[in-house]
Amino acid sequence: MTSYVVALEKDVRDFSIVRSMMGDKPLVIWRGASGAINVWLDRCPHRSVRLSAGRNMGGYLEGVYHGWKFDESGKVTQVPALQGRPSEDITATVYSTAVADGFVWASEEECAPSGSAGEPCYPVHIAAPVDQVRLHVDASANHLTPWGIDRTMVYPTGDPVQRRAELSAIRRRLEES
Amino acid sequence: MIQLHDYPLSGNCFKVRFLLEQLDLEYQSILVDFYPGYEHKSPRFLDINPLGQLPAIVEGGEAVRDAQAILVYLATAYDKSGKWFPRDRQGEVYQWLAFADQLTGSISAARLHDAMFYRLDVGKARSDGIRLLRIIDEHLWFAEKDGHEWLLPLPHPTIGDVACFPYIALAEEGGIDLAPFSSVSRWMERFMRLKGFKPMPGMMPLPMPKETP
Repeated sequence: MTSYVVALEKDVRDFSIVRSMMGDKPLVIWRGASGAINVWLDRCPHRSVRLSAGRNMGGYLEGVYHGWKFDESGKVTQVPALQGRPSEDITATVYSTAVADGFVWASEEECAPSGSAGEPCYPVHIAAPVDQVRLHVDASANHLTPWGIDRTMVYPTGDPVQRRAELSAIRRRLEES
Repeated sequence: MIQLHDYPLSGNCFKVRFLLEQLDLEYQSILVDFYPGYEHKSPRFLDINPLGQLPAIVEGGEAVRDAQAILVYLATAYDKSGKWFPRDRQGEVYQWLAFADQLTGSISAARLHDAMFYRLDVGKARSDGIRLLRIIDEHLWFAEKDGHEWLLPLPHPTIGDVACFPYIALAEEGGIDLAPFSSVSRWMERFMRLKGFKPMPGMMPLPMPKETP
């Protein structure tokens, strides 16, 4: 059973949508009116368009394609084509989620973040090209860094000049690959 | 009145419309049938811009062509606040205007291939676009880390942001996935929440809910 860091908590803002990855699964992450963070598979159960193209209206997530409204539990509470009736037997694929150490964690099973995220012992999969899973945490800057190389855990040093050089080197390696 | 030779599906026309509206300028939009009419290659339009490219503006009988040049022209002539094209930071602004031109050559080209069936090397266009996205994502990541929200370290966007925004926001129409570029995504969202922002087709089909203050 593995729990993954999928986003920084502070990046998941009200009325906003974050995209990420858990392994090869695309995720839509959104904070609802209750303040809780929801991590779902980024696929509408209707026509598979990505839910992250829609809108976070606070109380619900609205799909971009046919305006289906999903409440925070993932249930479809309104279908415009059904004159606004709910369709509660249909739900988004909802993952078990936890917030710890300033990170949003998710799991396909029971989510159980453990230890400190500052230690390079957890897979950190953050929105990545499918072939290049990112495994980076810049703990000192409190940011997930956007550049990574498969299976490489990089902890840039605290010195900003050196950190910039390290991250630029990663980008160059990505470009050459 | 300023006449804008305009096409609703053009990102380069979008940026000019955006700045005209931000500056509260009255303008007349003259629609050019870019696709499928190829009217921008017609003798009538080539008289205005011999390069046969949109957009172009005409004011007082004088034509200004090239999206980035028009942004500079409008900001210089009409922006009394000096925010959109800050005098003491022109080098940095021009750097992003030139970057925007490269976005036109890559992401916009990929979109022309996918949406308007242009014949070109779409693989190269996409990989060039992704290379540029990595560069701007890295720039914005460091900017955010230093507490800045825009391409320049200023508390407001400049024509550099305006120039780069549309073809990045339209990247997925050219088959380029924006999910890997998280800082870019946050920057786009900030841009779309700017007062008076009006999305163009393909950008964000629905109005964004307002963030609570």
